[in-house]
Amino acid sequence: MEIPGVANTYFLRAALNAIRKHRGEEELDAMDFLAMVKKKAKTLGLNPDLLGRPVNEGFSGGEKKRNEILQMSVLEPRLAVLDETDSGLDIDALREVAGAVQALRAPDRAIVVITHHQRLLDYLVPDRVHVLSGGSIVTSGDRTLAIELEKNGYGWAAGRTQEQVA
Amino acid sequence: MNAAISTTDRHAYASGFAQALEQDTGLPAWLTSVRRTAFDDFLDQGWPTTKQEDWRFTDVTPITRLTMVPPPTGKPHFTPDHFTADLLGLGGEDSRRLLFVDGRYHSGAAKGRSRPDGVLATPISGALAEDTGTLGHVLGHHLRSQNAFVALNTAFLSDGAFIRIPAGFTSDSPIYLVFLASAEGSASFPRTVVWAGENSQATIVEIHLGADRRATLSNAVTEILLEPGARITHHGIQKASPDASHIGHLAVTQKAGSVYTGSSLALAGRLIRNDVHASLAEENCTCNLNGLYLASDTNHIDNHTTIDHRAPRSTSREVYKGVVEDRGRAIFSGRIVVRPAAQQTDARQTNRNIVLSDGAVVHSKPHLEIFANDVKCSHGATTGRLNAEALFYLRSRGIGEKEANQLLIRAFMLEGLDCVAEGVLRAQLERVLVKRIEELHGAPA
Repeated sequence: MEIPGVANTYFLRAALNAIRKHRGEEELDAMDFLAMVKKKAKTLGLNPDLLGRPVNEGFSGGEKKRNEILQMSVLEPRLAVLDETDSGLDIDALREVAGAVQALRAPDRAIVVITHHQRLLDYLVPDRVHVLSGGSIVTSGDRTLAIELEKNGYGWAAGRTQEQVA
Repeated sequence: MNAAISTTDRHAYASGFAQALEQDTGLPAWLTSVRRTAFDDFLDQGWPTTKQEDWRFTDVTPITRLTMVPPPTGKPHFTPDHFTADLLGLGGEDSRRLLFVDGRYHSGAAKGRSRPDGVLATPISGALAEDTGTLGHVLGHHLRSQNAFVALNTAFLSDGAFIRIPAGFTSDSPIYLVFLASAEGSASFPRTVVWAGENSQATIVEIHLGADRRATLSNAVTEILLEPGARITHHGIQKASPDASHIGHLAVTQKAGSVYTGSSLALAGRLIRNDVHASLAEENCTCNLNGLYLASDTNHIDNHTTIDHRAPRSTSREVYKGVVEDRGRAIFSGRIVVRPAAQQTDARQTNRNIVLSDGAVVHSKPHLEIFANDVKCSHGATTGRLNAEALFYLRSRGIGEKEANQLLIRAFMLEGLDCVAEGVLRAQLERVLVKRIEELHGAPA
């Protein structure tokens, strides 16, 4: 989604302050906000020029992904669903993005990560793994399940359920 | 056909006109005769009606009920509201600024009438009294249309601003002209005349304001002549009171290689009508026309523009954008004429509208009249709602509905400023525009 004319930082500050207001917290002024968002962008490896540009306008696939994670780290949601965050990212970008998500882990925050590959999970170690097939969860386990799945394929996971059902 | 003026009205207007002539002492005899002719012309023409194509969507009946009695003489009394005060202060203390109240030069507010740089920025009343001869060179000579309102402005012409930029002079510091309509029930007829010498460069900001809740009519005419190579940037800002009307006529004449960049910010008013006529009389001219309008409540904002390409190799870019809401009405009629001689013309025109409520109405009428065969011309008009997906995106990040709307309206409008101004002036125009948007849609968190 590109939003011409709405600067990334302007939008993010409006969103953050709307959330802070709702939580009964003090709103951030432009200076404090900019300092905070610049710091976060740096840890994400996001080009600071992108902060002043309109939301997602002319962003590459990787930049859009990083921008989403930046939004997440600024807005600090209680529940985040990351749908194929790893697609289109090179190895370095993957590590940075995973690191940023990792840093957001907290006891009062749930993060659901949807991926097709084990690779992301090397950096972002899951507490719990669910395998979806044909629209439903076919099997669940800890992080070792993802490693086994990578080795044996989805067919194996689907078969495992049928065995269990039988 | 125009509406014939009834005998009763004829008498009323004539007595108002006689009174005005009596009041305006010290003007040269030639002007009095020009004014008499114009007044007769107005009586002959009568008011335009909605049966005329150019006035199809704009009914001027409310204006015709106003008496043509000039506002009382003496120092006017007004208390500027918040917004007006802000606009009055545009440009800061050091800038060159002329203030007019109810069509008359308000002597207290002018600074730097004559400066060593040779730029003349003076009230017309003064220029006429001194009769330096230069004003007469431009005044009235470049008006391509003599509709009833132009005739009326000439008939009551007694004051306004005369700006003369000497050849070769360039300045980045804008000249501000502020016209305030304040006396209840009065009509004012300010005239602005700009004569930009060869290869000169200047910026002029023309602000028309209405004092809070006063019913007034300001019927303004602006004439701008650009000598070869001149570059003029001209910003018009209109914020009339909700009961006031503003009828503006802008005539631009461009000579070879000149560049005119004009923007119009129509922010409020019961009835606003802006006619722009740009004549690209010689070759290699550039004309940029930009308009932004916000029609809320029952505001009626009508922009009629004509860009007349008369000579080869000129370029015009026209972008008009607006947001219409409540029971507001916006009209855009953009005409581009390319004469047989105007080969290799490059003309583009865009009109974009956002409609926020069911009661709001937009009439958009782009039209090209092309009589040359080697040209590039395009036009486009869109009218729609705010982008639902963009709204969803913003709301899904926690931004409330009202604020998300405000954010998108702001983005849509501010984009229109990008190509007309930069630096301090851009920031000033943005502040004015944002302030008005916040008046209508609330301030962001």
